[in-house]
Amino acid sequence: MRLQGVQCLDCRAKFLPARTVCLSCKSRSLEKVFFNATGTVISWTQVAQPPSGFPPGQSFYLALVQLDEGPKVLAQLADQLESPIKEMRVKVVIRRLTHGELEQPILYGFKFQEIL
Amino acid sequence: MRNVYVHGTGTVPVGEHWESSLLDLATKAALIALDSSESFEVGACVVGNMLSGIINHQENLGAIVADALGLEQVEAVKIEAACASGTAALRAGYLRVASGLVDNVLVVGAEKMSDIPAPSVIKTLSTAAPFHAEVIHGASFVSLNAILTQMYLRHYNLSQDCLGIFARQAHKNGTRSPHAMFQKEITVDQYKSSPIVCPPVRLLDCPPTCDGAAAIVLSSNKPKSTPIKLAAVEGANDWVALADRENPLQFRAAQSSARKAFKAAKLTQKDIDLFELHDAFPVLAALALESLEMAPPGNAWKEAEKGTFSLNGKLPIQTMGGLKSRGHPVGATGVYQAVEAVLQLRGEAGAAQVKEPKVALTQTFAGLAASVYSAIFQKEA
Repeated sequence: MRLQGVQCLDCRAKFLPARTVCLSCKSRSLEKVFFNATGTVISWTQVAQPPSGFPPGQSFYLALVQLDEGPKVLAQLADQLESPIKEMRVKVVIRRLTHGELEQPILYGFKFQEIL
Repeated sequence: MRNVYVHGTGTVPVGEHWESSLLDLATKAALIALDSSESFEVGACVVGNMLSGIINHQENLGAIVADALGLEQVEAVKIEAACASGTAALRAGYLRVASGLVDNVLVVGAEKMSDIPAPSVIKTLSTAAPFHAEVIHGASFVSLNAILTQMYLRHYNLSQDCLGIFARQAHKNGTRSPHAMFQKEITVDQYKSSPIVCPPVRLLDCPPTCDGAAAIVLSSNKPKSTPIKLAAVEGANDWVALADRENPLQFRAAQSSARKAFKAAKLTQKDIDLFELHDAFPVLAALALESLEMAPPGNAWKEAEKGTFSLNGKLPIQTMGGLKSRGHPVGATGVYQAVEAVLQLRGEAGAAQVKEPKVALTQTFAGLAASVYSAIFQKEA
């Protein structure tokens, strides 16, 4: 499993999601790259009342993760039953993100799962 | 560049205004400001607001409010910068007057959040966060502030509840503030037993969903009594997504906008007698203070416990309740901060009066300080 982002051809800075202008050196030369989708949890919280559009009544953990190969990413933790621990090792998995509200498409994306 | 002076100001009490519409609130505050100005004539009507389109089914607020006030042939525009909309509107007014292009400007901040249920309000506020980086992952400002608070507490090795002093101090000051939504103190026990919403953030850390409007008239004419100058209002940005910040505990936009404001006003931090900061969550108050080195990193809570930031402390903050107790009707907040600064400088703050202030700093954040506006008000001799 890999995550696609961009890398600056001039200063090698990495970004996810993809962007047009490098935040470090302002270059426009950004190419698509894949990051190995493993990382470490830096911080997290628990959301007991999901915003509308997310499965109601299903509490989830939201975490800020430092990918091994570069940028930090914010995403949910999948299948996380207990409180996460700082510096917990995680890997990316594909999951459905939203519940599907009226007139809205169902969004699929990624979450992070503890590497056991 | 001309000097910009404050003429009339006006507020409605922050609260849940079931009987009034967004326009009713804006009109009320604006009329108080215009009626207390030397002249009702303005050349522009600038309205700061964030959510009128999503919540109140109304855009084009500049024209809508000008219409309600019977203003004719004036510039009319809505200014939006999420929770900093009010101070961004102040900047828009300031530029028109300072440049010499418009003599008198009415700036109104207004927000009516209670027209939809509270859980829906939280979702609308998320429009200030980056959609793909944060919102589709289920983030909202409560959870984002929770993640930031956890980082802060861990980094400085602090116990969960020590930032609570900012919520408690806000409420203590709010009891003396006639337009504050909450005029009730919170005890340490009440704070510690309030439910955890998103760990470690407690219910009593969160600002209320509320309605309000505040207005201020800016003019190139020096008023006859107690001239208060809007000496500067400056803005700066930072990367919006928390994940894009190299050091999430450093609010570069807060530092930068304040620095620019001090430079424009030809003043330094030592000159500030009070600071209306953006205390939407306690961690934001701590970071606002530490960003300007008003407390050592990780120690803002300790200074607050000592009374450094109380009404009669070295640097009063939240003087009329702050965002937590006066309330945070998002787009209006910046103008409430401005009006409170002016009341303090004029000696009209009643029971909330700070002793003889001459210079006040106000600062408002969009989201997690992604766009920050800082304003300096100065009493002229």
